[in-house]
Amino acid sequence: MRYFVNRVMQAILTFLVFMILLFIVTRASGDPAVLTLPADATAEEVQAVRERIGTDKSYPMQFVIFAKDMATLNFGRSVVYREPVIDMIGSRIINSLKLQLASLILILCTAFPLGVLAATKRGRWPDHLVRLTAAFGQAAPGFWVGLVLMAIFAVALGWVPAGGMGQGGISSWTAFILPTITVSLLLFASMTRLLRSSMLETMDAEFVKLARAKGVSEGKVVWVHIFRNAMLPIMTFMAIWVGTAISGSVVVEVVFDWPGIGAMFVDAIAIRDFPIIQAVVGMVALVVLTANLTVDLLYGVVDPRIRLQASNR
Amino acid sequence: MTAAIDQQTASPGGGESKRFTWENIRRLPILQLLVIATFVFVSLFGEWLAPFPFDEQNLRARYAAPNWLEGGTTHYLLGADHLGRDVLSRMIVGAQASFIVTMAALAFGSVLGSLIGLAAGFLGGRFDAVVMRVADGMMAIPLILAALLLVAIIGPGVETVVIAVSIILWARFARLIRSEVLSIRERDYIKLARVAGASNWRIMLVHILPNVLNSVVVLLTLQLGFVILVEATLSFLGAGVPPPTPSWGQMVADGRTYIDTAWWITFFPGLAIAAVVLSFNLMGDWLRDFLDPRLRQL
Repeated sequence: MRYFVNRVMQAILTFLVFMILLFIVTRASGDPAVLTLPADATAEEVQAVRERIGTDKSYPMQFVIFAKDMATLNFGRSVVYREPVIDMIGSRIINSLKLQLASLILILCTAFPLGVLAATKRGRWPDHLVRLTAAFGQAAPGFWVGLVLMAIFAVALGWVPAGGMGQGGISSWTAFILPTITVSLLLFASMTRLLRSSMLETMDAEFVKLARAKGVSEGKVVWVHIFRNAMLPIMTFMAIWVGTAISGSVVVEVVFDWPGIGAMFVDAIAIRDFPIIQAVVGMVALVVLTANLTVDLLYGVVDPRIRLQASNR
Repeated sequence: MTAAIDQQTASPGGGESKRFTWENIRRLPILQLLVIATFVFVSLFGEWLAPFPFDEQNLRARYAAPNWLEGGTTHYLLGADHLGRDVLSRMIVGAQASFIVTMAALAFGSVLGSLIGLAAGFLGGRFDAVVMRVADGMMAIPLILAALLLVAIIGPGVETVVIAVSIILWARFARLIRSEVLSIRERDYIKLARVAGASNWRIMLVHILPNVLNSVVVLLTLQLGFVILVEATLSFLGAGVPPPTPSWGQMVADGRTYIDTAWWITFFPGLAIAAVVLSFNLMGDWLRDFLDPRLRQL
């Protein structure tokens, strides 16, 4: 129990540290009231915003207001679109999540079987093929892969739309194909690599030899005894992946004109729309930290050794 | 577990002797080294090597197809872009941007991170706790987002990319070095050094630092490819080296609009990125197995 409480406290602390960093960074270059307003704003307008977001007060007071705004999801209005940021973000997040969900399904259907295949056929051609694909997936820049796929399958062959997400429902599934493959490539690469080496390590464990010795079928040895134990590092990896997935989807959304949160963020950067930028960064950090925390807690549930180790220290 | 590690290192690194014997040299990743050497050479001397000035516009050669394609120009080996500039020359000159940014960011990030990790691991206590929480906080935001945030604040440019990448990198180095220092700190020779009257500084720099350098080098090579990718991505998103100086990511972005007619503007710079990153990654794997197989999980 102490392990869980400690871990939660640690995560909360990290998030607080992050918010302080974000607070410092957004104020390092000057008054956010000035940054928030368009260049032709009058002195009165600047003063009004300053009072609303509190930059006329002392820094500790400002931080309290900043934290309160973030906690109540009160991100203010977009500079350019003049709409509350929270309204603009909602549908964008759902679009991004749809893409991530499709990618996750693709990964589950490909990376897991292929990673296991590479480990069980170690040193033979399936292994080499999977490792080659993985090495390429980690090296090729996502934006380039996306554009090359687009040039081949959308432009030259005309099988799928070149961009956008159509209606966003099941009927526009063709629009999902290329972005999903592009988003998945990097994760596919890291996942198969990790699963392969993790499986190989578990294969030499005593309990695997025992299982074989007592005559358990080969399929059962691979999937029940080895795979389940090899899953532990994968769980840690999934937490790291959340951050990578967000980075990756930024690029892919730009390439395929996907109306998601990543593309919105890049647009907001170009026009220095600070309320949107702050909201996205804050939410992403929250998502990443929550994912890390969830995995650590799950780890503690699945593997009692970790729980004991942490509380013995 | 140890058996598995031994078995895995036996193939690429040579399990027993980690010296530069003929056996080990024979297993050197020649192709990767060749790509890397070309990349470095071109980055350093690109402006003299390029067959044409990178910004020379030849309006009659706009969208000219590569030399070896049907109907291609005889003039430009890899074709010309939307302004009639030679794609090959721009690629050769553009290598420099990734090279400089990557080297600078890695140098700052690794030195800063290693020193902080060294101090945090050695001193422990409150300093350690604060530093590690800040490192966690830094790693809570994906690198691309952090870099873009900095771009919005300081504006695009080489310095921004270098600062952004090193800010994230230091945390990775600090974490690894700290955990190494924690185990080294308990060794007998450190205690002996202390008994002999060595100061904290001396112990950190003379007795601990040389023992973690291997890990720094390995992590450095493993991060190289990643940093090149980050630089390319930022350039693609318009946050890297500002035009007219070419960079590979920016070239891919330029060609994006013409993907249906002139695919070569996009294809070749991207291929160059992939080849260089792949070579660095494979090189890093090889070096890790060679120097320190314990770091396999990195």
